[in-house]
Amino acid sequence: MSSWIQILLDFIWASSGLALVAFSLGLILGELRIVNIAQGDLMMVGAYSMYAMRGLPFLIALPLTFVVGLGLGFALERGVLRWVYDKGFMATLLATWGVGIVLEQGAATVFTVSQKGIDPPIKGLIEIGDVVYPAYRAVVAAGIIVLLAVLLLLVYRTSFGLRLRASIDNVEMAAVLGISPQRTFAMVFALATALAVLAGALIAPTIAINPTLGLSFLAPAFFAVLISKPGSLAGPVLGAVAVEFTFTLLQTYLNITVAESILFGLLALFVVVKPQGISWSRTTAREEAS
Amino acid sequence: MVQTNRWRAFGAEALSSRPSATGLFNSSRAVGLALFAAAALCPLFLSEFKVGLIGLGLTYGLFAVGLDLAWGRTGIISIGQAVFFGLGTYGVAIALVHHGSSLLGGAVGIGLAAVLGTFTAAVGLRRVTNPSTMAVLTLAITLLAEKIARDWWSVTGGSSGLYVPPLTSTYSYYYICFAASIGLVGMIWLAVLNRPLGNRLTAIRLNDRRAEHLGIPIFRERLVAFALSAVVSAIAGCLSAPWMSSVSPDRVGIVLSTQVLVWVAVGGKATLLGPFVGAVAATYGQDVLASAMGDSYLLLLGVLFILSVLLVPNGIAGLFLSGPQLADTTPAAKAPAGPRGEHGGDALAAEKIVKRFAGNTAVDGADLRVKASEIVCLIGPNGAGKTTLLNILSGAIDCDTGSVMLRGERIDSSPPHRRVAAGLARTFQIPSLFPGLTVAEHLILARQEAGMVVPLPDAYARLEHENAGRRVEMLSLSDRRSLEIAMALCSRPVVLLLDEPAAGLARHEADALAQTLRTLRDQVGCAIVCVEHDMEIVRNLADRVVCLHHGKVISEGTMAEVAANPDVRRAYLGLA
Repeated sequence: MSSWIQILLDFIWASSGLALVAFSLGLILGELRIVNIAQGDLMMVGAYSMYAMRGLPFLIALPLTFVVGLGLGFALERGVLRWVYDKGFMATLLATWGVGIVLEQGAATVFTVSQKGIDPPIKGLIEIGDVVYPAYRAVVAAGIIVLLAVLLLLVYRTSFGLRLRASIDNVEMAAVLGISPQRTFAMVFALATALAVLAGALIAPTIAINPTLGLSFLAPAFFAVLISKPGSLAGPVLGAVAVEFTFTLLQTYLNITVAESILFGLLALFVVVKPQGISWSRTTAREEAS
Repeated sequence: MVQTNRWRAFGAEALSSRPSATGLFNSSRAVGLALFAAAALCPLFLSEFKVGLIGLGLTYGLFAVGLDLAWGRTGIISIGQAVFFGLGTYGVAIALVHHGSSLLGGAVGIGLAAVLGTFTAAVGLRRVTNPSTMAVLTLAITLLAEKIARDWWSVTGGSSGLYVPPLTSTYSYYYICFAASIGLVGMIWLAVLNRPLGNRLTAIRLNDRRAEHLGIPIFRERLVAFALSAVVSAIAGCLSAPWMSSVSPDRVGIVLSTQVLVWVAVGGKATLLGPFVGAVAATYGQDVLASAMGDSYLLLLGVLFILSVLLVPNGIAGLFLSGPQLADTTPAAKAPAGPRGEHGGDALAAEKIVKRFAGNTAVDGADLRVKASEIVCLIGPNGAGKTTLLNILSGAIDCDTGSVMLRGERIDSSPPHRRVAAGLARTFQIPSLFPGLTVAEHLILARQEAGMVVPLPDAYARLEHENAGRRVEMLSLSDRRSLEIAMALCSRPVVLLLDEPAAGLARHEADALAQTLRTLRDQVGCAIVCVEHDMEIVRNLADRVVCLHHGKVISEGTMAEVAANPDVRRAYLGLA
């Protein structure tokens, strides 16, 4: 029984972080039609940013890191990505790939490759039944769930969200309605970058910080996006929960590498059966009627 | 507005994607020969260590050629190519460690790479799959492979890897690598790139939709290209093993997968020399620069990569090379003018076609029958389902229910390329051509796929003669439309589907079009189904007019009959 509570808590923790990254990835894929390979490296930036500001109180360093993320995202969009939009899908993918290399190597140059760590701001433990769990993780998981709920409300219930979804659905038509693609692209990329950076910052106290830490999040986050319908924003969040649930189950019984191999096999199977991903709601379909 | 934007994008794509397929054997012959001589003679001048570096660089170059087959030539993204390379390397290394046959070990590695490559492509490259799928799959494979190599201690030696016995003679192995690389690249050139297959890969890269509506089986050819790229990369991996002191998990991992992308991008995609130049320069430079700069060398590499994506999308070799992109594969067989053999029934018969988009019924039980050599115009208000119906006929999309018969043969579950072979050809509302290719090259592709040369009607033959060497971006809209029709005619179609052939044409061009198309029908003998809004053209062109509204046929007959129909008037005036 207690081991199941432990597994459940670990699942909630892991899927909340993954959901945030997958949401930001889905946002970029939906609006900018870019597969952002640097997303994991953006998390890495968040973790190092917290490390660099480890002298400051956590609750001051965190918003500062978020601002760093906004600035970084804005700079990347204006400085690199906007030059490749009209060069096709592969050019944008490679550009983000290059950004990833530069971020990783930049971190390795500034901070060296040796592992770093920071202390969690909350050191206490909580007890559920006879399971003892770090309070920091519980608080962060709850925080992320609230944040995602707010983001999804923003996307589906506000006029800002409506403009965003209109732009995702048909950027040319939205432009005709006065929604500037350039501004929306820059804003969305900055926001998505800041969210990934935030995710990295939040998990920083629980992991060993190194320049390639983002890579391990990249594949599952992409799986989460891949199994949901292109352009859907709630899809990647639910996809992340589904991926993490499957992985947690597999990992409970199997060696982690075997579990990952099976997860990959399942994903391949899924792509064969549902090449367009799952539509989690009944009305988000966005097929070309041309 | 939308149309002009797309055109701008089309032009930009064209400018950024004109690497030369014939590469090595053209204007850069002198550079190629000089580099060849340098590689052949360098053991005479350099130390054993430096020769070893260049030897490793050559095997990396072959690896990069492997990636280029998928990425540069065919446009398939692979960000996990090191997996295939690593399978070869580990195959040889495991054999060497256990004093087995390195040939056998290498063969097993190559075989596994072929299987894995085929499997990945079969999952990720289907027509209906999103383009991001392949990126995610290949990325996941390389991450996973690195973990497996780390974990599977008993076979791979874990993180520390396998110790490979040193070479007995650096120089002789250098020449083995040199000969193998040159030989393999030569074989790839002769057996793939300079052949119809190579032309097909280029066509798929430039415009996959046009390629499949020209009769190219795009899924199969992409599968072949990716499997081949996996095999070539694995062979390169086999050759590289003896150069390494130890084979560790990073041989299958993401860092090497990254580096090979950089080599190809910086060296030059879709060239034979570029990948080698990129790989050798990087391997040699890494040694020189890494000792001087340490880790920041990789940072420099990353910056270089971004700059090359932004500024020189065709890489270093792309700066020097130009020339034809396709091999001239025009078939020798000539076809007689006129239609294919007679067939008793309708040329085309579509029955009870239904297509829904997310609950929105675009085509709602439409029937369409076209007799041999008949010209049928599809009219109807915007959103009536005309283009959707055309897409269903040509196989661009599948219908939910209903049947499509071409000369009595059921084709509604066939992919577009089979329908082309059966005698169905089409054009698009916005002409769909291969950016960067010339008019002559377009017709080479069309004739290659048809397997014969069909005489073109005068209007189109004139286009070919006057503009053969011009790239399609330089053509006027009406010439682009004519070229699309000319390509369609090369397949000797039974039925030609035209989507708004007059849209965007000047008045005098549009007036001439109806006459040109009727002449075409008389000379070629094919039936024509034409979606058209311009009623003047419909009046001059159509033998029969079919009016669609809300996905249903509401009236058909002569222009006068349809125009007099009260339902049609209501539909056009929006009083439905």
